Amino acid sequence: MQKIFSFPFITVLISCAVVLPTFAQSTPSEFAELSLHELFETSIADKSAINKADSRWSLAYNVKSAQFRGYLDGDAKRADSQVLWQGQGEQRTQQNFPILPTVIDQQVHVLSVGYSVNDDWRVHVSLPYISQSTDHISIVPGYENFTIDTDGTGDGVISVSHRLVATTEDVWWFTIGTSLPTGSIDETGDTPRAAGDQQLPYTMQLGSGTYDFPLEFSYQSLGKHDFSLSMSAMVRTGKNDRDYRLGNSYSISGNYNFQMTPTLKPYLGMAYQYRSAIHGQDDEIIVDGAFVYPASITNPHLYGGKKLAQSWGYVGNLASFMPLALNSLNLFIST
Amino acid sequence: MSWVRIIYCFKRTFLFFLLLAPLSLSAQELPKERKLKAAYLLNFTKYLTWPEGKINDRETAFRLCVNSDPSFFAFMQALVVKYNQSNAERKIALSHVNNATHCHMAYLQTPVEPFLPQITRAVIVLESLDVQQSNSAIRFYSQANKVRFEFDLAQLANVQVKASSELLKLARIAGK
Repeated sequence: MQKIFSFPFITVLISCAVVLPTFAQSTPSEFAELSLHELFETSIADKSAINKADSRWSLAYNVKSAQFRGYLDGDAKRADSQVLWQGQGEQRTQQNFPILPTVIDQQVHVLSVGYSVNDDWRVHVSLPYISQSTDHISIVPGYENFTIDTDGTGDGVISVSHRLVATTEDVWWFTIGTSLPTGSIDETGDTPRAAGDQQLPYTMQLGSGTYDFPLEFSYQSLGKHDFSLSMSAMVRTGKNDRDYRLGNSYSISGNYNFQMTPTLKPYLGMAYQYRSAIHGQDDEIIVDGAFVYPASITNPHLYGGKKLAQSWGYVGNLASFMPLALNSLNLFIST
Repeated sequence: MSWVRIIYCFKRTFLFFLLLAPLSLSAQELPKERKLKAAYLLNFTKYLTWPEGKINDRETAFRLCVNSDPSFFAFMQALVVKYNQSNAERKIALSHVNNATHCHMAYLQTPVEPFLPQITRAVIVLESLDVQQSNSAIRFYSQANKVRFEFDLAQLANVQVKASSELLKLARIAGK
């Protein structure tokens, strides 16, 4: 049987980064931006003045909005009506379901704090806030059309980045971190399974419930035409309190941007991702009988697969417009 | 998930990252005074004019040579990376004095052999007045907790390099 899964229709990512003024010493990039007159006015032992060169801390805020709709059976698109089991008179199989999610909307706000220990080492802590809703259709009376919402903090991540190589032409970074199970895996809502609130499927949970390890190896060429390549993985460990573990993911992505104006860089990107299926199962979201999965998203074996995504957008440098060191505002759209 | 749970998770992981701390701190931070001098070097390349043909004969890169300890070189390298990102038309190529075939500008923390062929036509910049090096054109010094520099106009003329009036306004002129 091929996997039936919902695919991303469109993803929009908006991010902005702020360098916090501090009294510590600074990073090379900030020194490189100092003009001759700024240098002339800068004190060697200046501990009182707020200087844009004196920033080790950074604050970044990302908003990612994604919508998933439609179904694929392998590479072939399937209409919602083909995946929804129509009830008595139609044969029930592993590829149709009495309850069907039609549109999944997700919005993730990620707040990250970064600290440059020195030129070669950086530490980041980030915490996402997730807000998501899923529209459903079903053959269950009273639940022909219904929507389930969940929101709350997701899994926080602490990571360390080390610059392996930096030349005038390119730079290499390695990042390793830990994803903490701070997001809930006990979200409930009113589903056709029974009266009142019940445990929701995996897609509606906010976290993984396990300690996981994100890794990334990245390369960036520098110049007017920048090219970057990154290989990343999310390695998940153990099983959570509900006896399952989300699948590992591995991705490779390439991005290209060029300096169109002093403050604007158009951006093009391509990413390939492989994600394995969920290991284990949350027994609370299945039903009795020959067909235990009432909806596709309750079947852990239908998760995972390969994904190719393209993205485009703009990277803007707002430093010249924003007095309080708002460094960049980026907009990415991927399909 | 409760905040107690979130704090518990972060505390547990914090211990793991404590183990990495000594590793990350092993790279010494360069003093701010020396970082400022590195940034000055980048600016000097903008306000000094080399004679026609000296830079563009065979390549577009400006050759900056450094004779310093590794920490200064690494910081300078990072500045050059950033500089080259936004100045694609005239990139800077950084190298150690001893590894270079020729230099447009040479920054010396410690003296080198004065007749090295790669620096005979270079603008020689000294990290401080304490560096004993002949033929230097620019020398850094400190005054009132700020980095200042003096120009030897005769030496600059020897290597046929012109300084802009904006740069000269900020410099102390040697011999005056």
